[in-house]
Parts: sequence; structure tokens; C-alpha cells
Amino acid sequence: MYINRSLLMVLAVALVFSPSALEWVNTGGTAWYRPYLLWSLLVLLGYWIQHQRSHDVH
Amino acid sequence: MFISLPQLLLLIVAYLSSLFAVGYAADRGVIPQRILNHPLVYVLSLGVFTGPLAVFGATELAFNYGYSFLLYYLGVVAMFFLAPLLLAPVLRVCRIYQLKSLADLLTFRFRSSSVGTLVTLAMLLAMLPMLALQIQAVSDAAQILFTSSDFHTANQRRQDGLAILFCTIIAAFTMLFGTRHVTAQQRHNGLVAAIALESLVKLLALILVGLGAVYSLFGGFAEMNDWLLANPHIIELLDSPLRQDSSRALLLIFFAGAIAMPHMFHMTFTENPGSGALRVASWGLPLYLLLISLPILPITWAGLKLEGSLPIAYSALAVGLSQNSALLTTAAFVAGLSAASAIIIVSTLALANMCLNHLILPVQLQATGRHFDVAPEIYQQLRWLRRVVISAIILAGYLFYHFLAEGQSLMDLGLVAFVGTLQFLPGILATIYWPGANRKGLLMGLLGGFLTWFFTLLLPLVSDFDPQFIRYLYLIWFDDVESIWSAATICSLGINMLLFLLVSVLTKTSPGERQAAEICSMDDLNRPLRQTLTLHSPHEFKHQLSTELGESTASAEVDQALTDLQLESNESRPYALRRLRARIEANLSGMLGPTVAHQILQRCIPFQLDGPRGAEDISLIEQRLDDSQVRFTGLAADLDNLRRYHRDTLQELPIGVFSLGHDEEVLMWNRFMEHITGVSADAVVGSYLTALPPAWTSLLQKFARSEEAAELRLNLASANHPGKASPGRWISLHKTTVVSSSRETEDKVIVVEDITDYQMLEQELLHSERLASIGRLAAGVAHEVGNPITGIACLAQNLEYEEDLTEVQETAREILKQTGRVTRIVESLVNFSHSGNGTIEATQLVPLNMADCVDEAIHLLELDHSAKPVRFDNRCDREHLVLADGQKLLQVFINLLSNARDASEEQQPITIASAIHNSQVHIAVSDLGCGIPEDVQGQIFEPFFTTKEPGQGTGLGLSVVYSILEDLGGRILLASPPAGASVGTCFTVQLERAEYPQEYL
Repeated sequence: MYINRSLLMVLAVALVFSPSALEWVNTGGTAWYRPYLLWSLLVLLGYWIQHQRSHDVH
Repeated sequence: MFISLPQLLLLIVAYLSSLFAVGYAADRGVIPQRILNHPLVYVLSLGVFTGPLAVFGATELAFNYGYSFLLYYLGVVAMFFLAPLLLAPVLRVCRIYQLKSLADLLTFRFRSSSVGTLVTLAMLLAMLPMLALQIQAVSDAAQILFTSSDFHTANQRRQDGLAILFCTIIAAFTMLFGTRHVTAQQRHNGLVAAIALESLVKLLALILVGLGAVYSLFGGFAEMNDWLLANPHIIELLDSPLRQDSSRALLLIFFAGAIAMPHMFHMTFTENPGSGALRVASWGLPLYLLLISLPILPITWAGLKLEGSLPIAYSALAVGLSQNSALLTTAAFVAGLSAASAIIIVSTLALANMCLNHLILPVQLQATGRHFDVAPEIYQQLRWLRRVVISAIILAGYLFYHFLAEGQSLMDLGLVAFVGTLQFLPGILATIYWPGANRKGLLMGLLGGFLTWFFTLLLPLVSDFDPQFIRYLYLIWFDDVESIWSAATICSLGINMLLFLLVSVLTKTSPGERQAAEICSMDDLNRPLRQTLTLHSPHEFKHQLSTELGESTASAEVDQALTDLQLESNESRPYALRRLRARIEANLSGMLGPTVAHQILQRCIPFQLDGPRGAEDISLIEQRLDDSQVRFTGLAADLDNLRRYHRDTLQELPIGVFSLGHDEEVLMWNRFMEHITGVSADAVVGSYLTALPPAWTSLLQKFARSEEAAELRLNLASANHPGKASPGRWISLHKTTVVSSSRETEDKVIVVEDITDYQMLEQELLHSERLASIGRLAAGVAHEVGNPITGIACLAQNLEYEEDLTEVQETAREILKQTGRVTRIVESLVNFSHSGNGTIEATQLVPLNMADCVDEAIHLLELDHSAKPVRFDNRCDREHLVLADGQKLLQVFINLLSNARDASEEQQPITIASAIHNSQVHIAVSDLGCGIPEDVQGQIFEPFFTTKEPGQGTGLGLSVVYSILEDLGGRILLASPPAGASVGTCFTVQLERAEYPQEYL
């Protein structure tokens, strides 16, 4: 089975930090864009993981 | 009134027409293929997920659940983020086996047409609320444009007239889009281009409305911020998320929807252009969803600021209407229209395919005696059937909308549809990750889950059925229940999974399911079986398929599969024909569904039922491993490296190695085999041995079928090299048996040793040995020739003075006698050295008289007067004939007798006797000499081994004897001392007995 190690690492990090991230979002007040910042980070991570993976493919 | 009905219809028709124009241009090739295949277009086409729920419903979700509205998007984001784990394996199977829908996938995995039927029926039911949602969104939005702000109070009734108009138009466009191609080979370029354009329009329109809300309604971002500060209860709405169980349920249903919703499945897998598009989509779609969700909160707040002039779901329209802006209002309407039309078009097409493949065609096949009506051809039939089914599905969606209970919001309808499709998630996950799952488990799980869903969520939509029982069921395990839908979600999915798990564990899985499970399983490479086909050419395939598909369709499908695989139309290799069959099945599966395609192929191009089940197709597995785009890691990488190392070792061995299956199909052919046979591996692997040149075919076939483990020194006739004056190759064959990995058949591994060079060296050695013998004889020969020459000289001198005619005649006779003696000596020498030119010649086995051959050898040896005088006693029976080569046999006896003489004392007898033993003649050469010590008896046939003094022997004599006898198919045995004697040595030569040819008799 092909194991995408970058993806597993990101999932592990997300699991650890998700409560803090959710709290950070919920205490944002008028900073309603906070979830979008996290989301943007997720997009960048997704890009990075796929970029890594495309280098793996021969 | 903001807009009149004709204007509205014109807007709808103009928008859909422009979409169709783009689609048509894409289909006609006006839009370059590289643009259509670009991952960005694929990502935009996946934007089909964002239906009216994203344009209108999301504001309602945001109002009710705060930030939790983002879960609608984040479910899909999570699915695509995890694409390597979830989507990629499904895509792999769908692409290889041309599976076009979820029903196709599950039918393929669980090998059951009833799975396809149930999944299709369940999907139809689950999608009814989704279709009704689209119709309701567009008709409500249209009604709002007619009535402006009066909608909220005056028009709660369903907008039947508008809905019928919308359905009619959208049905016409769906038929135009969806029935242009019927085969799975053709990607719907037009559809992809149109849906991608819709996603772009939707995104731009919503961003425009969002900016309109911020700048036009609030006056800018700062002002909006001030308004939020002035209305803290609005901020509190954001911060009052759902309870954890509800938010998880929400995330789960949208997560499942990203793969289970028919329109998402269709765009993700069926319309995937390949080349890593899914990898780009794994971050591209989250980015698209991020952008399209950005305006939702400002639009929701705009709706709240307008204090409910319209339902909160339609805040996007309210922004434009409140500002009296035609641009913003039209943009909001077009965003909703494009979202709804995209979902209706794609999901209806996908559902139509499912209905055709899993409901209609199987029933039609049953009704028509398992045959298609071949006139008119199948493609035309399919096109019309699809049009009818599309109309029926849209009609069903409209009827569901018509009979909806009052007061159902977009969000309610959407949630019911999503929870319905959530029931397929266990089946999808099991397809990829649980080979132990079986069809009974899936069917029971789906039935349980769907019945729960039907009674708790679907039925209350169209009746006054009260699903309170689900609350009580839910409260058995949980303390409190927040909403019916979250309880129904958890309970239906729980029942589904429990039944699936229990029934799968408790019941048996069929071999077909196990094989399909291996194919689908992510960490398992497809293990194709090497079964034997009953047909032997593509032409026969066409003929057989034409009985079910019609002549032209059968021909087109076989030709298409041949083109796909880059095979010739005269292909006859079993390996290639198996691949061709699999390809035809995959292509037909794309057109008719896996069940029907499987049945047709089983009937028309069956595998042989008798004989072993078939070993794994090693060469195909190897090819797939080599073609694999994934770089293995960890243990898999080590194993792959090991495989490559062993494969390369076999390939590069300086000796020919090939393997044969139980049916004599060539499975492996290394490079040395290519070299000595001149036949490449590509040409022979997957074929029978008959594909080789005739000389090789007969030789290898005979050996493969024989019981012998080895055949040494075989001469490959020069027929192998026609036109060349080649003496042919000399080869030795060895074989061993390997039990195939399925442990049902035995394969053979055959080693082909090219001994031509060895044979040449051996001939040179024989020649050298012969020359050495001639050298040793030279002195005796000179003496022997000298005597008669002296006699002749004397006689010639006497003749000079002889006058008496009688005396002259007597002298002449004496001279002739002496020259005859010389001639005989010379002939013997020439005879002995005749074949000694060091080249390889095929052994000519002919019947020979043993006694004559021994006489000749004795005569030659007696020429050597310097040698020890011994008594040769030839007791061979004159009637005993052996099958041998005269020259070589002469050398055998010269060597044996010469050795015997060396070992004997002066005047000791050396006896040569022959005897018949069954089909053999045994010739014993016995002496009374010193004998051979027992400890060296095992070595005496080795080259360069001698017991003589240095300079006395080359050590080659007996090894040459051994080699010649091996060549002649004989043996040599040693007994020293012989049985019953105390001294001496006896060599026994065993050769095949022969008879005189008939002509001599």
C-alpha cells in the first residue's frame, strides 16, 4: 500500500491542533475571516503534499 | 415586478443556450483539447457540488448554525484533501474497468446485479429531494423577481407553472448534452466545458453579489465591521456552533456527498481527464470552495440588515432588490440558475446511466431471451432509451417537488438528500479497504439504512408522518437529541454499518467477489488469471459478439479494443486475446454496465471450463508493476527492488532460460533466448511454442512434453538458419517444475545451454589427440612403409636385368603386392585422421561391424614398432553390429587398446570380446596389466588426468573416449580388476545394437 507520509503528518498535526484552532476561530469576534485563514493554510498544505507526491512519481 | 415572465424565460433560455454553445464548441473540437484536459477545467467542473445550497441555502445555514455553515464546504475539502486515500483508488478501478457510476462500482465489486438494482433505486429515491431542491430554488428565485419583496408574505405556494417551464427547458438541454455519446470511450468534453463555465459564472456572480452587499449595502468593509460591533447578537450567532454530534453529522454527510452524490461521482471519476488532474483537484477544489464561500457571511448579514424582507435563504437576491440593482439581482439569479442547472443536468445524466445499466437493460435482456434486438443497432437504441429515462427522472423530480409538504426549506431538502447518499459510504469504503465485505452484507446494510432514512427523513417531506420514534431510538445511546435529522443520520448510518458488518462476517463471500475485492483493494495489485479462451482470433470475437450486439457494433467494439491495446487484427497470442477480452468487457461495461457486459462476455467469449482454474498471469502482473506510477516505499520498495534484481538476473544470464505454463504458454523468455533463437520476448511471451521457428518448436515441444529432466548435446538443424551454410547449433536442455502461485498448476522452467563453442573446442581436442596418436604412430609407419619400399626397390633393380617374361610378371606381381601393403598402411592413416579437421560435424550414426572396427584399430596400433609388443586377440562376433560413427568409434578403440598395451607386460594378451544385452552390444576390452588403483578410478575420465609418467600421456585419451561415447549415445564402464579376476582392467563399451539396412540383405 502506498503511504502518503506527508498527508499522514498533516493529519496528525491537524488532530493535535484542531481544538486550539477551533477556539481561536470562535473567539474571533468581528474577525470573521479567521476560518478562511486556516482554510487557506489547508489549501497550501494540500498543494505542498501534491507537489511532494508528483516528485515521487516516476 | 422586477422582470416579466417572457424576459425571465429569455434569460433562462439565453443562459442555457450559451452553455450549450460552449459545450457544442468543445465537442466539435473548436476548444483545443489541451484546454479541455487542463486540470483547471477539471477543478471548475467539480464545482458542480456547489448547488443552490451554496448560493442560497448557505446563508440559511450560516444564520442558523454560525460558522458551522462552513461544514458544507469542508466535508468536500476533507474528501479531496484525502484524495490519495479515498478518491485515487476508486478512480483507478473506474478507469481500468470503465465504471461510470456508483452502481457500476458496487456491482463490479460485489459481483451482483441485485446490488446494482438496489443502489440505483435507492439513489433515485435519495436524489428526488435534491432535484426538488433545484426546482424549488429556481422557481422561488424567479417568483421573487416577479413579486419583489411581496414573496415572503404572499407567495408561499409552490410555483408550479414556473417549475414546469424550468423542468421542460432543462430536460431538453440535458438530453442535448447527454445523448451525444453513448460509449464510455468518449469523454463528454461538451458537458465538462459547460459545467466548468457554470462554476466560473457561479463564482464570479456570487463574489459580485458579496461585494455588492459589502460596498453597496454596508458602504465598505469598515462600515460592515462597525455594523457588526453595533449588533453583537449577530456575532453571537457566529459563535454559537452546533453541538458536537450535530456538527460531526453535518461534516460526515457532506464528506460522503462529495463521492456518493451521482453528479460528484460522475464529474470526479467518469469525466476525469487523467494526467494527475485529481492531484491538482485535491487542493484546487478546496481553493474554489474557499473563494465561493467567502461572500456568504456578508450576504447573510446583508439579509439580516434588510430585516427579513425575503427569507434568509434568498439574501443574495435581496441585496440586489434592496439596492434596485439589475446587475446584482441578475447576478444572484444567474448564480442560482447555473448552480441548479448544473446539478440537474449532471445528476440526471448519471442517474439515467444507472437506470439504463442496472434496471432497464438487464430487464430487457431477460425479456428478449438474453439478446439485444440487433436491428436497429444498439447505439441508437441506447440513445433513445437514455432520452426517455432523462425525461422520466426530471418528471419524477418535479412530481416530488409538487407533492412536497408546505414549508420545506432548501436546507431541509438538501439534508435529506445528503443523508440518503450517506448510506453508500460504508459500501464505498469497504470497496477500497475491506476485502471481507460481501454482497449480502451490503444489501442488508443498505436496506436497513435506507428504510430508516425513508421513514425518518423522506416520508415526512411529503406527508404528515411523525418520525419521533427516531428520537427514542437515538436516546437509547445518547443523552439528548438536538434535531431529527442529526438523530436520523446517526441512526440510519449506524444500522447500515452494523448490518453490513454482521452479515458480511457471518455469511460466505463468493470467489468472484473475492477476486473483485482484490482488484478494488488499494494495497492489492489486480491478479489476473491466465485462463484459456475457447476462441482464437479477434475475427472469431467479432463473429460471436455479433450474435448479441449486431454485426457493426461488435466489429466496432472489437476494433476499438484492438486500437486501445495497440494490437494487430490478426493477433492470436492467448495473452493478447485475454487482454483484448478484458478490454472489450471494460468498454462494454462503460456502455451497458458491468453486469450486462459481464454476462455478454461470458456467453460470447467464454473461458474453457475444464482444466485448472488458471494460474496468475505473471507477465501481465509484471507489466502492471513496471507501468505503476507509484514509487513504493518501505517494505514494498524493498520487495520491488528484489523483484527487479531477480528479474534482471534471469534476463541477463548468459544462458537461455524460459518458462512454460501448464498449457505450454510461454511466460518468460530471457535475453539469451532472444539471442540464440532470434525471437524477441515481445513476440513470444504469451504465445504458445508454435510461434517459434519450426526447428525450435519441435525441439522444445518434444523436450517439454518428455519425462526426461535433461537432453544433452542436441543438434539444432541448420533449418534454423535457412540459406546459411551453418552447421547448426548444439544445445543442451534441462528442465524443472515450478508449482504456480495458485498451487493449482505446474509450470516448467527450461534452461537452454548453447554448447556450440564447447562442442567446437571438444572437436579441436579430439583432433589434437588424433594428431598426437598419428605422431606416436609415425615412426612405426615409416618403418612399415620403408620395408615394402626397400623390397620394391630391390625388385625394380632385378627387373632391370630380367628378360624372362614369367619372371618379369612374377616381379611385377610382387611389386603390386608391396605397393598394396603401402596403400593399406596409408589408407589406415588417412582413415584415422579423416575427420580430424577440428570442425563440428553432426554425428552420422550408421550400422557398423564391431569386429572390423577393432581389426582396424589393432592394425594401426601394430604399426608402432617402438611400442611394447602385446598380443591383441579380437574375439568380437562378426555378426554384431552397432549404431555408431566409424571414425569416432575407431578412435575409441585406439585409445582403449593403446592404454591396455601401455598397462600390460610384453606378450600379455589383450582381449576384445562382444556380447548382446537386450538392445545393446557390450564390447569388453580386457587386459592383464597393472590395473587402476581404486582411489583414482573416479577421476580417470576427467581431462588431463593420467597415471602415466610425465611425457608418456596427454591425459586426454579416456576423457575423449567418454565424450565420444556420450555423443554416440553409449556408455563406458570400468572394472579394475574385472569381476572374477585378481589383476587387470576391463573397459566395457555399451552401444546401441544395429541391423544391416534392408538393401544389404
